[in-house]
Amino acid sequence: MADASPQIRLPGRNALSGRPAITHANQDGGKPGLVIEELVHLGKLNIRGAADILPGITAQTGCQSLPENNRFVTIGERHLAWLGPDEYLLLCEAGREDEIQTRLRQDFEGIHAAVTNVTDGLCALGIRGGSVRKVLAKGCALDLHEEVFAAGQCAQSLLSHAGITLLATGETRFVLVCRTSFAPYVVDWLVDAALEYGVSYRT
Amino acid sequence: MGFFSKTPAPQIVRLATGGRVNRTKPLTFTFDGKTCQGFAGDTLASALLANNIHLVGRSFKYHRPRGIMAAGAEEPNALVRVGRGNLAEPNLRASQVELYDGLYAESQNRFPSLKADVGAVNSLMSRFFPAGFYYKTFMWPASMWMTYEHVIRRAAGLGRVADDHDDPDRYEKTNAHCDILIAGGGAAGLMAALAAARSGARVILADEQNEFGGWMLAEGDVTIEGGSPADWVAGIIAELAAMPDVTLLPRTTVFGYMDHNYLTLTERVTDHLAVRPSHLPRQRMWKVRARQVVLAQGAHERPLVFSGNDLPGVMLSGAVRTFINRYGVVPGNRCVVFTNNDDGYRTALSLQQGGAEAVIVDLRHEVRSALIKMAKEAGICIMTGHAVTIASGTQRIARVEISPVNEDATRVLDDPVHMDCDLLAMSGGLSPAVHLHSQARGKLAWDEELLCFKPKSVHEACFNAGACNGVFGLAKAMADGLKAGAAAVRACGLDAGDHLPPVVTAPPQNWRPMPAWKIPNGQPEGEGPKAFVDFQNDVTASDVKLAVREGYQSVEHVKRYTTLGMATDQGKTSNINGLAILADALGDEIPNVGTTTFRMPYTPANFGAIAGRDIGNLFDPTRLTRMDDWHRAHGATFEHVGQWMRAWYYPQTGESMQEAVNREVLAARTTAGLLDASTLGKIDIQGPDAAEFLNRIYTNGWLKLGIGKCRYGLMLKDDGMVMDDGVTTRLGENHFHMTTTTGGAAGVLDWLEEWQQTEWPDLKVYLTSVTEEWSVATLSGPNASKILKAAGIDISLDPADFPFMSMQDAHIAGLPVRIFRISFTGELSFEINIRARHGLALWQLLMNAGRDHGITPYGTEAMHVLRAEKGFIIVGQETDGSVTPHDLGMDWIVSKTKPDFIGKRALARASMSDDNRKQLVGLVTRDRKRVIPEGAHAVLEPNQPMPMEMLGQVTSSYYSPNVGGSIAMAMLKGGRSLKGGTVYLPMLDGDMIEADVVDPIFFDPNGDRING
Repeated sequence: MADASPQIRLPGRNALSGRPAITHANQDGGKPGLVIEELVHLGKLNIRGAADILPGITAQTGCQSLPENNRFVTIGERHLAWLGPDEYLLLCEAGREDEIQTRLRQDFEGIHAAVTNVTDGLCALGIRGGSVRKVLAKGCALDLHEEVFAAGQCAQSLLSHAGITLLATGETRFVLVCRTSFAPYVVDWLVDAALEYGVSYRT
Repeated sequence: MGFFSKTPAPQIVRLATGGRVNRTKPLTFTFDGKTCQGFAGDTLASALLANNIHLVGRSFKYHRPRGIMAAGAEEPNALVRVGRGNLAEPNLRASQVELYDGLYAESQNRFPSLKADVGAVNSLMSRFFPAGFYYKTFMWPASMWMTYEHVIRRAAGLGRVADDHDDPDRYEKTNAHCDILIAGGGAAGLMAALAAARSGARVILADEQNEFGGWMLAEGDVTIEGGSPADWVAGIIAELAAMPDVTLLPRTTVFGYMDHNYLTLTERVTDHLAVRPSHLPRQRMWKVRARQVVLAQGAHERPLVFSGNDLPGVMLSGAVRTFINRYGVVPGNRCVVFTNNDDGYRTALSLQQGGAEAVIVDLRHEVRSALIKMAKEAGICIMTGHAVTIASGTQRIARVEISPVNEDATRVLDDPVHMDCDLLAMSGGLSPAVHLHSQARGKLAWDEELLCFKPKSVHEACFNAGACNGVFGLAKAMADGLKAGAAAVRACGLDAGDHLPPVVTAPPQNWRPMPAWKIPNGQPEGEGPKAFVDFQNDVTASDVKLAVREGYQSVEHVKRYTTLGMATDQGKTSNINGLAILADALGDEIPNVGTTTFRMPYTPANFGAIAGRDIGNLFDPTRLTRMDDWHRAHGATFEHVGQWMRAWYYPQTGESMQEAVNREVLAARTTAGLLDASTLGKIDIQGPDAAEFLNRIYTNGWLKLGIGKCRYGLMLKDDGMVMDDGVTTRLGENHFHMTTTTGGAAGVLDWLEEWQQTEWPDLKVYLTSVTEEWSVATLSGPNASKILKAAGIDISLDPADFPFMSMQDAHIAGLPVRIFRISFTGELSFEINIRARHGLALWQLLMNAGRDHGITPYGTEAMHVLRAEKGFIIVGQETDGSVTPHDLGMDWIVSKTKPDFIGKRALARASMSDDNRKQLVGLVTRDRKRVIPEGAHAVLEPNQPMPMEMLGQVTSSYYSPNVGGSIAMAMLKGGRSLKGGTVYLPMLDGDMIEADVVDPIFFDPNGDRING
């Protein structure tokens, strides 16, 4: 049986590979209120453990302290986000996640901790634009006011029917992480919700 | 008595100046096929009146002609259907429909036309339609009810929904948070908003009308800060609009108030536009979480209950004033103002200023008010101690009878005088709009002076202000709004500052109405023309009294029996009058009778807005595996498994489903089959207590499982019933990889987390979902090893090197894979896990490598048949939450030696070992080609009379090409003792299928094929 889908490329496919770009113009003539891109350059590690994981975290990520509740810390291109009292999500350079996982596991020898590579199981989207908070508010019940959900804060919530993790990386930009199989729904939902502001999904 | 001039002046319906309409922007609209003109700023109601159209609908039960009565949300009569085709929306209040160019509206509940309605015969038959007529008349004979109901619902009803139910409009929802939500942008609401906004609070101000200002826009006799109210409002709105944390929502109705200050609003975004931009929603539902709420909804004026009070041309006094002052429309030329309070005087003065003639009929005998002086000075005729006893006319009011009445207006004292007129403005006092307050479980108190229910105490973090708080009059309402706004600000922990209300001039008005709930008409009780309490539901004062005579006492029962206060207006104009008449008939006090429960929505909310964009592909996420592109490209059909779409079977050209499944099932046992198993739940379990954790979760033992070994496990709920199953593998000393069913994945992870966090926090174990981290291709069949070799696997697949129930890491064509030698088919089988990014590549590699070895992709249907051939259960198919391992014949998996596991104690209950529990058995039909329908019930004795004694049900049933006949699994009472016997399966068509009870294993009972 021959390959029927010409977009399939080896060796790897991202969550949204093969999905066409889409643009709805801003009817007011300005920039699109929302720009969506898959952040294919991010690897993802789920890290579990108490305060004693900090030395390992510091050694392998450069992070000097564990993020406080509902906050994330940024070291260069990396983000370490608080997900729960003993759970963190490390967004790191794609391709290095296996190596970082191995090193962390070595550093965590003897303490109760867990590191799990979830790079392919999660999809990270970069979403930005003047209307990004208004668009998110259509599907997320959290208070997204820029002073309440300020840059540096993160939270797990729902975007309509999909579970998401939101990292506010700026006043008008977020990293949105969802399970990979929900990514097409999330993008469809975002594109639809941003219709009134203009939207561009870029590949 | 010369009340009016002999020759009426030609009527000037639309004033040349004044009001909020833009006379430079004429708009054309259609009502019942007639083309009319209005102006920008009109509502449909004001535009209809400007065209001298008063008859706009037929009533619910009697099809009586009805006209516009109110100017706002409380309108009970003027319900119209707006728009055409599938854009049409019924039951809109004309008083709330903003006019736009090209608006198309129709009246409702009439046939064939509004003026010649055949249903009006109901009115002649009205003595046969008393209160509760549904219950009395049409319940007998019961068999005819369906017919009656059909006819009655057509004849007596409100509007018709759009013919095509596929609503093409776009609706949206949004969440919002604020410090202070203010419902209502009239005098009180604006002052509250100002106090809130100036404190720096995050404010949402919502008002249902197109402009903020409320009643202020309807009064021609007040000034604020020396200027017009409209100018003052414009200044306030400009100030608020400039604040970034203030959200102004005109055309937005706060329709629901739920626990924890959660409120729902409907914003009509484009309803008022002639051309609606496609990128904007027609309506948007706001879901607001507010720290504090200020309710400033205002009040509704009450009608007076007199004979003939439902004629077109009988309007609420405040509404008449609104039409004159806000819309520049004078709805009549010779007007009787019938009042029990001062308000009518302001209306009479407005009418006179608008060029109409007015006569005031005041129920009160003695009136001490500055307003009466003003009216007298204006030359208006005033009849105190009088009542309009009967109004008459055909399709509009034409005449009234006015009689002197006694002090408490319960008796007519003398013969009436007759007066011709074309408009009657009535005022029965104000009812605070306590709807939201009451929805939020706020308590009410009866105000003996103002004769109204007003808020007594709140349940949520909210404040009432202005007229809805029982504070009437512009200056007082503004002060009250400021006070409530400041209180809300302080409750938010902010500085309320010190703001003063503006300087207001308004005519001094006494807001106390005289209690007069049913106006006598000089005839015995129940005689003479009808006096309506509830206009929308055609409930008269007599209906309420009849209900009491028939034994109804509770206000809730009377509501349902008479339909008082039901339907779209929920009794906004009728409730208090109805209660008062009910209290009078019961000989009780109004506060003792109480009110009916106020429920959301305040005004009808569109289902479209509640659904928002949860439609079509956004209704629910569809989850696809990473191999999905291949399945689609190769013609697979799909089935839903939870949110996942799984390949069901892959029909080739001309193949039926059965043929395709047969081919796939055969291939998996003769050559090789390939299944996309990516959707199985996968949980990564790490920690020094991981094995102990599993030992407690599963029924079997886990402590001694070797590294690299796999084990099947069954987990129970604490009631001992099977919850999920799957294979779990030990990856390292403290590291396991669990699999769950596809549908159970999320529930199992939650279950594990719950036990770890709440019951066994001492166990050091971490759980992480890796369901989507891995794509899984299951290769099954005698040629499986050959295909893997052809694909370039770099490990030995010899069973000696890679035994059944073990795991190995390997590479296929250089790609790292994790292979589990486990089998759900009974064949030599490899579950090949790969990083999801390579899932499609793996599938393609295997398909290419298997080309010469008969590789056949198979879907979930073939998977079901293959496992059934082996008698493997599927949780959720053989089990339904009431099935124990023992019932399934799986005692072998339940440890007898472990100290504990979830469900152990429940399994020890005596009833769990009852021999008569339903037990899993196999069924083979005598007619080997006959496949029993799943869900069929089995009986032991085929000829017993009905109802037959059921043994249980068939849980799985297929045609098995490998067995060469039909196979089935069933849960039957005492099933294992029935083995060797025969059961019968009665079919709906009277047919009876005969089947032998066997062990639930149909193929390769000794498991010889597992190593290929």
